[in-house]
Amino acid sequence: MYTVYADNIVEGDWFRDLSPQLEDAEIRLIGSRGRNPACVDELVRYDRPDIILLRDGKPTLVIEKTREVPTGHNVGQRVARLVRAAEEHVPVIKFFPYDAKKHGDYAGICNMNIRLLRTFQRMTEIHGVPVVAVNWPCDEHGELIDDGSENDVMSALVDDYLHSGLDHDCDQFLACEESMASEYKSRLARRSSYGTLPPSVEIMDTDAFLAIANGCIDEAAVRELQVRPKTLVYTMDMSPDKCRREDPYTGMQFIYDYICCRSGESPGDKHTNLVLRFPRIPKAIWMVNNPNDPSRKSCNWYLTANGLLFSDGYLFQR
Amino acid sequence: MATSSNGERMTESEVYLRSKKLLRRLGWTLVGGQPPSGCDHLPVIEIKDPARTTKGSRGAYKPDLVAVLGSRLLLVECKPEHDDGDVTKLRAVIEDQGRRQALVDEMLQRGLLKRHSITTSAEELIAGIEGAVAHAGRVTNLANLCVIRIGSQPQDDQLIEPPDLECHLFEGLE
Repeated sequence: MYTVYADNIVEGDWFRDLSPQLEDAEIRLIGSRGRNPACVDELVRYDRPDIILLRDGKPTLVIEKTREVPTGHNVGQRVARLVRAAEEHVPVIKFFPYDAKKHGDYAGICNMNIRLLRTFQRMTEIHGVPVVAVNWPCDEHGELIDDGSENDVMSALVDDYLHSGLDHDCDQFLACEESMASEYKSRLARRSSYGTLPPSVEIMDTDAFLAIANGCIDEAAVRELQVRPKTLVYTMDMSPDKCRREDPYTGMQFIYDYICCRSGESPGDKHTNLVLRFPRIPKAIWMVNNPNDPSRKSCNWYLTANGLLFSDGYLFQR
Repeated sequence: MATSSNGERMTESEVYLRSKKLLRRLGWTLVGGQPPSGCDHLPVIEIKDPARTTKGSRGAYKPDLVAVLGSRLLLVECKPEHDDGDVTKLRAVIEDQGRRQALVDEMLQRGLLKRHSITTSAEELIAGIEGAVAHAGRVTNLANLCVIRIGSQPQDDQLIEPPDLECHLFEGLE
């Protein structure tokens, strides 16, 4: 017995049509936290995915779907909700265009930031569940295909997974992982800058980072940081009056974490420290605007980094 | 007022979904649209305000659904119940020759007619632009506008033509 929990009835209806095995599935809307079955609430702790599929009351698949090409640092949007699914060992499929035309005054073809594919590969390695991307294809003009054939790969994947008895190593998941690896390799060859870090991110010796922190960090936190010889510093140039926000930064921290820092399933399992740096924001102003409140999305700031460095202080996390 | 299968008030998303399915059943080709929330497979069509010369989307109108049948081009606004604001919005667009032209220009520029093998000329489509309000509430007859009435069950859904057009009722109507 399948139940589709959907963020929206339109997406739930689309998902149910992907496989004849879901024909009789009931669609329910994902409610606010505390108003869902406990297992669904666990999956929406960081943020709400588009689809959560339950079989006999147990989460079996999480789907995220978007028409937007994940470019630049917008690639970080929606990542936290997928991380949560992987942490709960629920397979993840993200359906989105790898390339498509952006309309409007600055129209042009956008290409995805392939760090997302690398992040998905690392999430799979670390959590031991499939986290895969499926391309929403476009035509030769960059317009998204919408004649129904765009769903072919998704349909085959979902149907095979259900038909296999929810085997994480079913043929279609493995084919997807191979396709992602090949896509990453060929795109990296065309745009090698994705093999290095962007200007906002720097990996430095931990001692060099501590020198930059200039005495803001107390001794206990210094000792924790010094356990790891390297520190990744992700600098966000927000101003104090515009610092109440999450996207895309909170998602980007996961991308850098999984690609450059993580060594195990727990956020504390890192070979390299991850520090979020806000050079223009005093700690007190930050804490008022972005409290670690589980009922707010601002709690995502505190999910994985070792600490947050402000203009006048440091917040130790782990 | 028709309700959802769970007995609750029908949402805008449900009205959107049922309207899409009804129009398809009636032979319309859906060429664009934007759901109230979430992601759908139809391209978003933006009708710019021709009076606006600067860049950006301010003043632009994005219909919930855009459908074509022969020389008719239907713009649909969806709400749980009848909404006078939607009526005003639709009339403002269909009575503005500049916006009618802008809509068809946008569809041509995006290749939406070719993609759906629609051979109707641009001039015919501009002349054939109509509006429809879709909802699950009590039907109000509206001059110049169609009503998509969402019933308790999908088979009860109807496209009701405006009273000042030739009476041409579709399946499900007495």
